[in-house]
Amino acid sequence: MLATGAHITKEKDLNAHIEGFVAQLKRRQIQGSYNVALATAQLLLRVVSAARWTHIDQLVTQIKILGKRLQGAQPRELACGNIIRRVLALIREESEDTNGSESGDGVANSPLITSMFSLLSTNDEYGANRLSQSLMDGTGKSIKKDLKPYIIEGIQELIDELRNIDESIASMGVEMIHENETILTPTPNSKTVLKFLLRTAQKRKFTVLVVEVFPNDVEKTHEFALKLAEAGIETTVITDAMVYSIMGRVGKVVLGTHAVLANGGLLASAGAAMICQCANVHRTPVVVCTGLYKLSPMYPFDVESLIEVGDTGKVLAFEDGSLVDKVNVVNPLYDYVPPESVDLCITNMGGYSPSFMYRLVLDHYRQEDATL
Amino acid sequence: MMPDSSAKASTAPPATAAPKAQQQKARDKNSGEALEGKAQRKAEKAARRAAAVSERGKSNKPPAEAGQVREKSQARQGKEKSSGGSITSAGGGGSTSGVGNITAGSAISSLATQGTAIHGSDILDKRVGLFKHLEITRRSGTADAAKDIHPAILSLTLQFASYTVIGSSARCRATLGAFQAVIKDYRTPAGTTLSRNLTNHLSRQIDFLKTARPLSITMGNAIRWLKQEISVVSIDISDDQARESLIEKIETYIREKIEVADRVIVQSAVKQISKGDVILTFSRSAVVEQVFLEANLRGIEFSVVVVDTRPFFEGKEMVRRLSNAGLRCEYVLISGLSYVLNDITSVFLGAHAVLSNGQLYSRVGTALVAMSAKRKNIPVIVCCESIKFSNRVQLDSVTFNELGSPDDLMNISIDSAPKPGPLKNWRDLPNLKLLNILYDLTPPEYIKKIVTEVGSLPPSSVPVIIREYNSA
Repeated sequence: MLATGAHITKEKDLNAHIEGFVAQLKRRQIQGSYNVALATAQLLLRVVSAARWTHIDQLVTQIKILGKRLQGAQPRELACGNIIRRVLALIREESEDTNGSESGDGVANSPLITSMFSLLSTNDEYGANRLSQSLMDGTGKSIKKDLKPYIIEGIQELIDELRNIDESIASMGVEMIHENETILTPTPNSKTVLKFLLRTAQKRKFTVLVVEVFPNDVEKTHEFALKLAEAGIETTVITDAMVYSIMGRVGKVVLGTHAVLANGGLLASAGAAMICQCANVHRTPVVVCTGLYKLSPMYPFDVESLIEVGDTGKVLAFEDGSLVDKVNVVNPLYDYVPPESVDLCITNMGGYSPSFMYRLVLDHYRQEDATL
Repeated sequence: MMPDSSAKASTAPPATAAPKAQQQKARDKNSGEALEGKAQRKAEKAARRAAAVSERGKSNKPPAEAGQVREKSQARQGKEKSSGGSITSAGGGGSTSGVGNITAGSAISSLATQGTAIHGSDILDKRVGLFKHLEITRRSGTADAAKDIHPAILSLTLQFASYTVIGSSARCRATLGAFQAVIKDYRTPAGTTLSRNLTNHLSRQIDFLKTARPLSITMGNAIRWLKQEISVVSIDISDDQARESLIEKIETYIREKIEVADRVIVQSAVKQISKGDVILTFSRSAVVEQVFLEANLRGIEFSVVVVDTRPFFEGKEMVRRLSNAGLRCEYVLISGLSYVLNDITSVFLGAHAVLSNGQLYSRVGTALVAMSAKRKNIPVIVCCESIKFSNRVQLDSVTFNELGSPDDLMNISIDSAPKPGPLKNWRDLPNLKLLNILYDLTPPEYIKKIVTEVGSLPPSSVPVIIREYNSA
């Protein structure tokens, strides 16, 4: 009795935690891909620890339902969905690994469609069928108990990976930047880029041109510039409009991004698209620094729906209130950068060309989880 | 050195009789002021030279050099005026008594507070390396103006410095208007003719105007034309007649080169606008605004997207006028350019100048707009009067540009109330610099056509027009 009582209160705590997290997401109290990703991973850790299941696909379904709720709370924060899909892929992988030898045909690990029948069936059935099939191979209950610690270990590894991303990316800086180089950064609101530049500055002397992303991130941008200058890097702040005029003197463009899409395209801060185009015209290399948690299996079929629009009060002030009635004011927060504009993506797992990103998507996510 | 010879000629009699010299001085205000102006300029030059030398760190030389230079200038002045008496001092700077021992520092500080191109060391250090060949002009008041600067020029200078009068055509028109006032009040000093002396008088006014902001190409062309007109003024007609004819010629010039030219451009460009168009424009161009207003008047249904940038936010004025006329407008800052570009059918841009190698010299950000439009195969049309054509050639935006005040970047407000951001103490950090350039260069391949009053032409045909019509 006591045991069940404790279980019930634990569940209540967990539910409260989930509700709290969803509310925080809705109210934008957790902002930024990194914070959301970390919080989601930690929540999933708790959920998996507290969950009970008889078949592994019950766990999968539970997490999918939870994931749908979380994603609905902040739909354009793709990092949340990414982490959920990572965990789901992890779970499937663990279960398949345990049963892989028994299911025999080796198809289980590959998400590729291998038979005409599976082409005609829906994803859910396909996934559910495979999993329950593999579990039905006699060893039933004992498997599910064995998996839990592995899954939890897997999630813990994911959290550690998240925490060390900036470290791994920053260490690649010295291979990218030479002495006396001029770097332009169009997304100074990125902590990854900041750490990248600061670490590289310990071994190289270079100049950084910081584009203020006016009006949405201008304060963060100016603080970024302050931090660089305090670390001894020659820093110059320029406005978004000046980029074309000085691009001829720039050696590399280094930017961070909000999300990376399956085709290798980026969802970055407003203004990044035109700056990357400008770099292409001048044949200046464009380098993106991003953690793998930002890689989303989504394909940009409808780019405009992905771009969030922000506070128009930042564009036209109260003083110009009379204008607001007559004029349609737009303040996009993000920009879509096509994969052709980007030369290199540096992730915590190394550097890749944007045309290779689809492979990383295949490695880390399962097709069955593409829609939660 | 025209002014020297003329001034010397006027006071040639080796000034034995002081009262005579003073009488002459009372009569010929211009020449007296000319002398004062010259003395002042010499003193300023000496101070500047001393400052520049001391900056380079040559320890013992500056005071001696400054002293020597001042001695020389004083000696020359002594020849022209009998009384070794005090020449009115250089704008409140160092005194000129004896072997001037003005310290470079005090000269700089006096210059710095009142205006002229700053050579002070702290400003120099804070300029971005790439742009060190350009100067930052700054002016807050006109207390240091010489006595012969006309009040119309004084107020115009302040209007330029505060960016109240902004825009290539507007500045040209305002300058010519001020020149009309100057010419009206001009009286030729004895011993010289209007055609010779007025040019120099105007040059001094122009030099003062330059201390607020460098001259625009339109102003340069207009001034060259005006000086040409002055030099061919016949000696036979009276001064009154000459002045009147000059004032009228200026009036005609403004009308022809700006007003009528704008009307012709509007007629031609309006044909490029059809029903259902969504037209993008950048910042504010007076001509482009007129094109839109005319199209609206003709009942063509179209909408306009105005892309704006800081620190001037000129686009707000554009969007205000267009929406007041009933046009459907959208307003976005330049970081949102890619977002709005999907629906655009054509782009209309204004110009500060069009250079002889076909490059468009215009408000910074124009190049980005033109490039983005070209990549999406959206036609870019530039509307520009022929007065904006220049003989200059330039390959990039760095070799020649205008530097604005870096503190405009420190201020992160979007309206008239300044709001200092996190960078308010940027000057304390030696590694941190703010760059504020005003213009950029758009390559001719991004421009579909340039609409001028002499016709529509591709950017490569600009030197042909300059040669054929001698407009520059």
